[in-house]
Amino acid sequence: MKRFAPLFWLVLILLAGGTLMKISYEVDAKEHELRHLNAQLAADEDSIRVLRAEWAYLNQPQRLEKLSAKYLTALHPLQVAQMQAALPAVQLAAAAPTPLPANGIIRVAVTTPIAH
Amino acid sequence: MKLIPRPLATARQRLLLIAGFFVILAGVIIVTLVRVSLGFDHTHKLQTVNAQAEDSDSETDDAAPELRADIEDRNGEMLATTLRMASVYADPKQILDVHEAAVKLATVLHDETPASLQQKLSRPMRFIWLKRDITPKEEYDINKLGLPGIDFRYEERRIYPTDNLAAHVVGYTDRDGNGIAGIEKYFDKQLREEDEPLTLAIDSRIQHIVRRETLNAVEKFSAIGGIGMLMNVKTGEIIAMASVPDFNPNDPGATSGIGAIDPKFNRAALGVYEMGSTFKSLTISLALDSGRVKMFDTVDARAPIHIARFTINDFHPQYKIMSVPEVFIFSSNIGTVKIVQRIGTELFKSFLEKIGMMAPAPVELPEVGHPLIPNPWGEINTMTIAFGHGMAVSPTQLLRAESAMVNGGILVTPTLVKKDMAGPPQGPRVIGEDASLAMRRLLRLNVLAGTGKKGAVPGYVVGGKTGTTEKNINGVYIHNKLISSFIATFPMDDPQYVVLVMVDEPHPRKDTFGYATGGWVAAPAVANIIAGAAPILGVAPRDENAPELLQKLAFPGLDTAHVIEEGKKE
Repeated sequence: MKRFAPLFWLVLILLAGGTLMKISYEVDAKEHELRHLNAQLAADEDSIRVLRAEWAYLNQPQRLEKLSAKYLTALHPLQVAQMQAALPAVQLAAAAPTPLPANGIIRVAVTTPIAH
Repeated sequence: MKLIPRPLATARQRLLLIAGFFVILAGVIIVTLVRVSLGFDHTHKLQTVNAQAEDSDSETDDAAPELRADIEDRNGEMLATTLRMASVYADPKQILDVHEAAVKLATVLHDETPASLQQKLSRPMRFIWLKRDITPKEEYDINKLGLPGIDFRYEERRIYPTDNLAAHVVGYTDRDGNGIAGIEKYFDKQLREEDEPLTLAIDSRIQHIVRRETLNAVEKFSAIGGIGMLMNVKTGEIIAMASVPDFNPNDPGATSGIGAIDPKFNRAALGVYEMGSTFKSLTISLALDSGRVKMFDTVDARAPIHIARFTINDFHPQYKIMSVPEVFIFSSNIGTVKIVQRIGTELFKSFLEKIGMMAPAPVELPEVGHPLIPNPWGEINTMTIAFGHGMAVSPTQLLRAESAMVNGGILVTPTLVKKDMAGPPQGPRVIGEDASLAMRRLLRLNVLAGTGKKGAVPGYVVGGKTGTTEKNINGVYIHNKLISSFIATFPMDDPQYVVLVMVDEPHPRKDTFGYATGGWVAAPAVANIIAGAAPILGVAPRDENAPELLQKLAFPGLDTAHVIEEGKKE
């Protein structure tokens, strides 16, 4: 029995060492992955900032107004008369909900102004 | 001892020693193993974090340090942000083929030619800027070229995506990101330290409408400048503040000038002007509130008033005895002087103090103008200031005072930051509810029948007062240099917003019959603003001829319809 004791210890040590090495490499790999993910995160955050700024730039009211005048020639700013004409209709609609039209298309006459 | 020979005993001892050593070693390894695998080892983690930071200084993949917070409008639209911008540089020593590099780079950097780049890349230096603040696309394209010796430096840059839109409000920063004007300066510390974006009271859409109409009025009348403002009379929130001419905060150095000629000068808050007849709404509110003048008291406005070396006359002389509504809608200076004489200097002065005319407007901007107040203040000053001459205040001050006259008498604090306020206006009471209602009726009448007819917008029950003053340059009033303004409130049956447009040195036009007065210059601009902004602001149009509305704004004992008919003949 005594003869096997050193062998037992040797195997144990080798096993322990091997496991340690494996775990150490795994930790390194994970750290590498973490670094990569953090870098990706920072890069994505930067991209989001750039895209949001670009979105805001493209949505300048000055610019949208020019584009709308150029391409949406059939649409015009809302006139007071249009709303006043629609007011009784809106009040009626509120009193009795309109049934669905036969063709299934619901027209929204006037949207209630959104308070903010 | 006998059983085991001596050398063998020695060998056994040595073996035990070695075995013991290995046992201890194995023990240490096992303990470490357990610690690492179960995550007890904090020192190890700290080391990796440090290693990571060292790995990536000056690289883009650095975990971002705090960036200056964004500024957004009341609906969350971005007005200012901070981006990490790349600047491209070259290390000529590392470049393998200068000609090839120059030709390739020129395909990306469009403001350079292959020749100019080749010359730059041939210099005997280790560092040379090729272009500052390149776009992400340019950065990507340069990376794709795969040239050795070409690299990037990253710097933070403040970006204003809406350009000129709210330039005077937002302000700008210097190259190092220190706020040096506007909100950027006033909230500098907060923008540095907090992550959350700063939400302004400004609404970009309304700001655009106000700026556009102000620009149009300034251009149409070949004026040197102007302002347009829109404020919530109940919360004091400034929804739009435009000063024309303006500038692009992305490149504030591009424009310059001295004093008020500088496009960066904020006329709306920093500029102070003699406001003219718009002041009459303040004087008459006080007169009615104090009880010293009743609505249908009459004053004699038949002859000009001579005092000291001055003569006070009317722009539209009526040569008659007038009641208060007539004084107001014909904008009679003589009548207003007669009214203020019944109030007296002391009460008038303390009233101006109470409505914030004697101190800079308390608004969140570093650029706020101090009012110019006559000192000493004699009776002549009371007389002229009653109709808006002889005292200069900022448009923001006037807007604030006017909102108190119409909102039921509460002086609100103007603010550029979004407030979540519901319920009645907060602030000290400066006039009574009755006087405020009387002023609403007068302002409405003035748009129906008086000088403010061009400010009307059907459905929005606009009321307002015009103002036209000659500019005072070095103590001399210049006849043909005017400041023309119109201040309006809508809807008059339940005032919600007050709008002011002021145009600096408008020139008369043929199609305005030679007039450059507030009624011709500023009132149409205000009408356009209200027509465009009211639907966005959620103000529902009303039937202006509804009996209850007419009754609310009618004068007991006055045939309003007749006055309006008379007004139309003008």
